[in-house]
Amino acid sequence: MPIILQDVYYTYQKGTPNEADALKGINLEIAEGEFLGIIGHTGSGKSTLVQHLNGLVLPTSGTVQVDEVITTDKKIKMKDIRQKVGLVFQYPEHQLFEETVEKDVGYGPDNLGFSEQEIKKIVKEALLAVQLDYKAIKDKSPFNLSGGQKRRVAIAGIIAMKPKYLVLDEPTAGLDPRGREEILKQIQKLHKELGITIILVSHSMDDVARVADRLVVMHQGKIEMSGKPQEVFTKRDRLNEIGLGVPAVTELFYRLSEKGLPVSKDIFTVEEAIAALKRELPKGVGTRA
Amino acid sequence: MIQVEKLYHSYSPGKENETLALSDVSLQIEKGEFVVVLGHNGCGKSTLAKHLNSLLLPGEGNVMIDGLNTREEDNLWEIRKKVGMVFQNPDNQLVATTVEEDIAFGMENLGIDPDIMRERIAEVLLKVKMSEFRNKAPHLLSGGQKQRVAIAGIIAMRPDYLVLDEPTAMLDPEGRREVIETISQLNKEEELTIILITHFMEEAVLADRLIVMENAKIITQGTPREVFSKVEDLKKLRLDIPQVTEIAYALHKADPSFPADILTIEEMVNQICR
Repeated sequence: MPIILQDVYYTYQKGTPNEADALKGINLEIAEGEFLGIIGHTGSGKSTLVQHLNGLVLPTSGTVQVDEVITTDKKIKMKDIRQKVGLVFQYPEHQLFEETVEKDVGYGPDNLGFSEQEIKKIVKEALLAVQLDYKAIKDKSPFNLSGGQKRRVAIAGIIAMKPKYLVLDEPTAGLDPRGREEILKQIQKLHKELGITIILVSHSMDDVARVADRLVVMHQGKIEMSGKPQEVFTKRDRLNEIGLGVPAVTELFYRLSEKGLPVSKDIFTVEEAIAALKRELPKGVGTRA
Repeated sequence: MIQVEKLYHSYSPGKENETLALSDVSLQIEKGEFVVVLGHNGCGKSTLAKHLNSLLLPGEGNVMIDGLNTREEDNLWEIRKKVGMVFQNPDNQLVATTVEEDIAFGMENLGIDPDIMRERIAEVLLKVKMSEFRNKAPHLLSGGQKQRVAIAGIIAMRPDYLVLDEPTAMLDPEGRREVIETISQLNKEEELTIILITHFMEEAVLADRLIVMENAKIITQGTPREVFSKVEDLKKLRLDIPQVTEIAYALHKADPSFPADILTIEEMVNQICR
């Protein structure tokens, strides 16, 4: 069963002078097993949108359906939705609080009522999933880890709840290139190996273009476009207009094509670019300008 | 001029968990330069930055700011006045309830005359393009705006050197652009010396000089063109390289007459479509 949003509106501080529409009629279906990238500017509504997916925020109007339940249905248990849809916030390491890594990651499963034996096993698996060595790290204080490690421990804490859907809000923000690459790789692994549905929120076109099967572009509370990365990037001018742009490589090929070079415009990785240019480069460009 | 001579620094010296953060770092920064320091988390770049205004003192070696040694306590105020610092998280740097009060804070501590303060607030707000936000509450601003207010508060104290430690790491692309434009403009128009620590390549290519650090040491430095043309070395360190530079490098390997040192999309297009 998928997650289905139907005509979702959300208004912040309704009835006050600060009233603001954050979402304006969102219709979106997220299929099981998908890797969805949600991209948009600060203030585009992307964070508000994903907070609807586990019932943290309820729509002002419209419905959000997670598998068979609707989040605004008063008879449902929120706990079940929260367990099913894991939400990793921006800077999740700010939420670490326990004395040891083992306790921190085990906090969720403990609340779900698992036995001590089971918790230990779950914690081990969750740390393994983010490539941290259980033995080496379990007794450390989460506050003495590096930034990248802290973030991975925080993500492990969510994975330990065994979510079916995992939502990550800007998981690479503030990390260095090595940290960014590692986190993205691990998210890809969670998707491929554990079959978790991934919803990745980002303002970096380059990051999402590399990993997502489908992109949703948010702008001013609405879905501006949606489709495979290749399809979305064909709308380069509109993406530039709303201040998002396309990956650097795609931009290069657009400009080359505008200058009359017969190159394809749906290229967005360095590898594709090199192959295409080796094929298409006119003779004699290989000299200093 | 900033002179760093054979600088060593350890955290928790003499203890079991002693870590060497800087090892034999020597460096000179001239007035008016725009220097970018690049490297992974933990490479020592923030430790280096904190030595430039006496927030940290050398374990061994010396740091001299216009001839003033940071080790001498009597030099502390003079050095702090000369070297302004901006940090990563804008929320930790703003202290007052309005933008102008926030900018006044540093000047008040220096005992600057209120009339001059008012003039300077207007002047620095103009420079960071935040004049219309003068009476706004800092916490209602966007990340990029907050960071520009933080910069305004520092330049109001008229430093000779501005050190920025990953000022854009927590910002979105728009905010990043605003902050970098501001920094770049301060360097060009005010001839303010800039020492910018960052992970972002599109910021690094703007520098006059690029310093790459790894494992507590400076491992390479030069113009962005010189540094980025060492594509394979940088890849080994898993540092980012501008994507067009990576493409140029691959084309260069296939055909050595194709230049390997291309930094921007513009240059690449010009090279191909002459």
